[in-house]
Amino acid sequence: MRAMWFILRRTVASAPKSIIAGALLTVAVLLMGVALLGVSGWFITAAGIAGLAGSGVLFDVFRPSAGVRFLAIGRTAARYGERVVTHEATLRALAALRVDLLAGLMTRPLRGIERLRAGSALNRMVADVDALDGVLLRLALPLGAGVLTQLAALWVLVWLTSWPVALAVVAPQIAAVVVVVAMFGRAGLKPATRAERALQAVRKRAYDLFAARADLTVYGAMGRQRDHVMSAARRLDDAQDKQDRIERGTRLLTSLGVQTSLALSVYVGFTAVAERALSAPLAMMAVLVALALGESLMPLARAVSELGRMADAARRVQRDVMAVAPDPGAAQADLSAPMIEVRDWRLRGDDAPISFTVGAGETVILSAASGGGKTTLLGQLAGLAAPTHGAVRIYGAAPDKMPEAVLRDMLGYVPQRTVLLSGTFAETLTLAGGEMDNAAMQSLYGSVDLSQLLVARGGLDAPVGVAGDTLSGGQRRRVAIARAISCKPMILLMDEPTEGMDQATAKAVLEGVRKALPEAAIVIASHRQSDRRFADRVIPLR
Amino acid sequence: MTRKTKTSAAKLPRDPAAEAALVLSSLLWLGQAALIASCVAGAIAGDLAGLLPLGAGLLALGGMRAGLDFFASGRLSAMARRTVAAYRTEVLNTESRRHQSQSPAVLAGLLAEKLEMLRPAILRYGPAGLRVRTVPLVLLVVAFWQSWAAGLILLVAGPLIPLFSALVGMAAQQASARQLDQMASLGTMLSERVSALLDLRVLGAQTRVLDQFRTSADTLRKRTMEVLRIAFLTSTVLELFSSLGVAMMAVYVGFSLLGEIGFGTWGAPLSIWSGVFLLLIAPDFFAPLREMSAAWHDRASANAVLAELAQWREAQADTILGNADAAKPAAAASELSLKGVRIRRGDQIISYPDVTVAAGQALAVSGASGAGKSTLLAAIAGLLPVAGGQVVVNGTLLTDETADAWRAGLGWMPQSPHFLEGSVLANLRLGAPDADRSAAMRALEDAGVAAQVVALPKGLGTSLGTSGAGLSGGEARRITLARALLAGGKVLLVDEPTADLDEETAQAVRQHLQGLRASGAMLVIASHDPALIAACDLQIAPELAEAAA
Repeated sequence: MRAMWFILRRTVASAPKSIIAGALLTVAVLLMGVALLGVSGWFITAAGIAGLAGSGVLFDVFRPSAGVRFLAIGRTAARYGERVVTHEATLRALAALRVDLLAGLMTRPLRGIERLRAGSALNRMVADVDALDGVLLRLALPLGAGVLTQLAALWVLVWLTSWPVALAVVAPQIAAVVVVVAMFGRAGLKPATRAERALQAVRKRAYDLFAARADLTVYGAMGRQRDHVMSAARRLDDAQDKQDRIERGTRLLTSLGVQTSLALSVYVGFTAVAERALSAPLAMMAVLVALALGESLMPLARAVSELGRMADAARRVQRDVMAVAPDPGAAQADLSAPMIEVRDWRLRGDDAPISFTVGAGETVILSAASGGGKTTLLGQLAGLAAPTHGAVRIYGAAPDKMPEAVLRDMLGYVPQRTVLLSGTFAETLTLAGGEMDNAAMQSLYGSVDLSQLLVARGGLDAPVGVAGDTLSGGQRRRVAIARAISCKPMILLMDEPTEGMDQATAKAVLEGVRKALPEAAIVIASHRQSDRRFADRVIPLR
Repeated sequence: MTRKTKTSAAKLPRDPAAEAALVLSSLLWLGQAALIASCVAGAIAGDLAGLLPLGAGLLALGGMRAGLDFFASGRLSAMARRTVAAYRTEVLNTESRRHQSQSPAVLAGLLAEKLEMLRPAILRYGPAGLRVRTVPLVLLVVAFWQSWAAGLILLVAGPLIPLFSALVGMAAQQASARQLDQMASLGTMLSERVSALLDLRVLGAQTRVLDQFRTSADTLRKRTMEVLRIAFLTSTVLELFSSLGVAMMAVYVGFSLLGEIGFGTWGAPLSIWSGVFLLLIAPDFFAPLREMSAAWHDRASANAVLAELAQWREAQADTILGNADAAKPAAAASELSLKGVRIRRGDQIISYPDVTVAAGQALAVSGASGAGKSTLLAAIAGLLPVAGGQVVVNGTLLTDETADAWRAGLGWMPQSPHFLEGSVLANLRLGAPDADRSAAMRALEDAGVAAQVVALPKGLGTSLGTSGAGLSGGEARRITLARALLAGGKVLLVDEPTADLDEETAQAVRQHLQGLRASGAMLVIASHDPALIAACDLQIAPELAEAAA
């Protein structure tokens, strides 16, 4: 609930004036709808009495009929304005929320990033933001406007008729709202959370079934996995049933409230007419007001049924938006210290400690059996994690304590699994914002032996393809390497850079990189024997 | 193509009982309106007897309406559940017998959230659509019966309701489709950036990417608003006509009662009862239309899902042999023969030389990547039907009847590992549900990956990401080898066991496979590792036979 407030406050803050205007228009729409029916009822009843008494000629027909027409057109205009204004504000708030969400994710620690990539967290995040458009549009505004309209109607009815008539109209409707909120307001949260969880389980388990179908079939486990999916689906159905029951219950209670208000207004109003305490036209007006007010309660059912889903989404989005981590710190680089220094480093406590330094123009290969810690060490040198045993230093400073901007400026890193963004070959190189002319870009792609591909694809303005999927694995790695050396880093770390390339290509790429960065300290993790020729030194881990 | 999709598209189901209840509930309003009209007429005539029974009658009718709606929504809710469950079962049962199909993510999305979109359409759009088709027509007849002028007002204000609702629907559908596209592209953009988080970070590109994203999000918002403005305009027309309809009715009735208008009735002047009654039913003439336009979005999404389902149904895919369920293993295989095996892959046919492998022998399937090595392993496992020739095990043909028992004795190491949700141990136990921890550890040791698993945060209990996050590619693959060993089959189908491994580890894996062979296991190995191929007793290579017609 607190998270919903957070989202609502942000939505309102994104465009406070339009939201206030939108809220006023929403109330105006409802009030005009109530007034339209109320005045109409008063008008025809009064006209009926005047006609019967033969005093029709004296009856002022102009003002009521003009009022009716004005209300009809005014209501329509107000409705249009309200929708445009509130949607605009909501979209603005959601756009800002997405940006903040991305900013929050960008500062996540390495482990969090890995988990995001592996799981369905992303799917959920996108869906969450989408679910939040209802917080203002389907929850706060209709409910707030509904309550205000009821109160305004109460006030006008007391003024025009009497307390008993006014209460007969409004009290049953307000009572219905109170009962709904008391019964379902809180109870609605749980099934929504449960449904969301079950839905995630269905997706994950189904994904497993489809992605591993060969494994499951060979091991005779397909039936088990299918039951596993279906059991999650049944939980989802049960939770949905419960949510449906809540929505249906809400509808039942609100329509009972409106029907009671209608019957009571007829009984109380016309009893007053019989006692000559009230005129028939005003009694008829009260009846039609009761009818029209019912419309203000209609959004309640949908709001209650969506409440849980929204609260759930709001909670996660708030957490992720608030998670913007501070810049790690202010460790100062000392340009006289060794460019890279590894001291007494061990992957595990019982390994032999490793120490080495790398200077300008040197190439070092880390070699180890898989699982030997090559990737871990490179990640620590890149400042993505702190070492558990021993120390790593870049220009004398611990990389994970250095200001992010300074470190990224001097250090390039090609991780084992890289992702290319959609865009052109040129855009890929200027991702970080560097300015570069075409000749420089072409020579960069030449350094990683992609000149031919570039020509074949149609030059720098050709698209790389969505997430690089028109390229082979080896080509993708080479684009990623070109991207990393485009910033002219002083230090370059590469994790298995030649994986998926034949020997000739691997040779051309490693030579090209060295030529492009003659002064850089380069550290390569590789298990390929043939790569070792390019190294000044090979450091075995473990 | 589009037409074809339409004819085979599944339709949303209907429920006659619920529909009858919904229509009845709407029409009961006529009774309520009549009661209120009598009350007003009585009040003006100075004859206000029986207010209490009248109020009670009104309440009873109102209660019935609420009850009927409640009953109908209950039936619809149950029907929605049945519908979604039926589609889910259909997709799951069909897909679990296919070897290859659409991308797992797409199918999982269809099975999870997309099918869920049918629910709101059944619950909300169904009733609204039904009421639009029935209620206005009845009210129109009733209005004409009371006064032809009143009927005319409704007819003019809701000009040709089907056309009108189609107009609204078209505009709204177009708008929501375009808006959905916009939203989707923003979502794609976000997801692409999130999947590249690490890259963006190490490139120092965060600020710039964030700025780009902000600009795109803003442009998209503006475009979405342009579309929405048009959509709102259309529904505003609907609002305008319904408000004006009520207003015109009020003015006509008022002036008639005053005697200023003398036409519009079938003879006698309009009575007060008729006037009040007509005013009361006027808003309900328009209510279903508004209800329907509010639910249009639900229908648009449901239609998209139904179209996707139809497309899925049309897609052809090979089915596996057998049922893919647990079975008693056949007697230990002593001989596997391929006789003239040809397999269709896309529009190619791949053929394989005849060969017979005995227990204690290893068969290498060699060839460039993409030549059809993995395809043969799939056919031997009964995951793919052969287009010609025979796969014979111990003299018995591999068929639907024999496939499950044959597979129960297989060990299987796929080319790209996929880990199921759950711990390493649960994944290892896939083919041996009863294996204990020590057996699992032994299998890991044999596959040369025990130390790495022990080093994981929770050891055997660690939960791996789908592609084995936290492990290197080679480690992940060796866990699938351990899984095959634990399954204890005497026949092992292994796909590229030494790819992605450093020389030292590859050597260890080769030695272990040799050991298995020496202990009497039959091995079928797809590989392009020369050292591994050389160590096998037999070797075959797939040939591209011809392009299929």
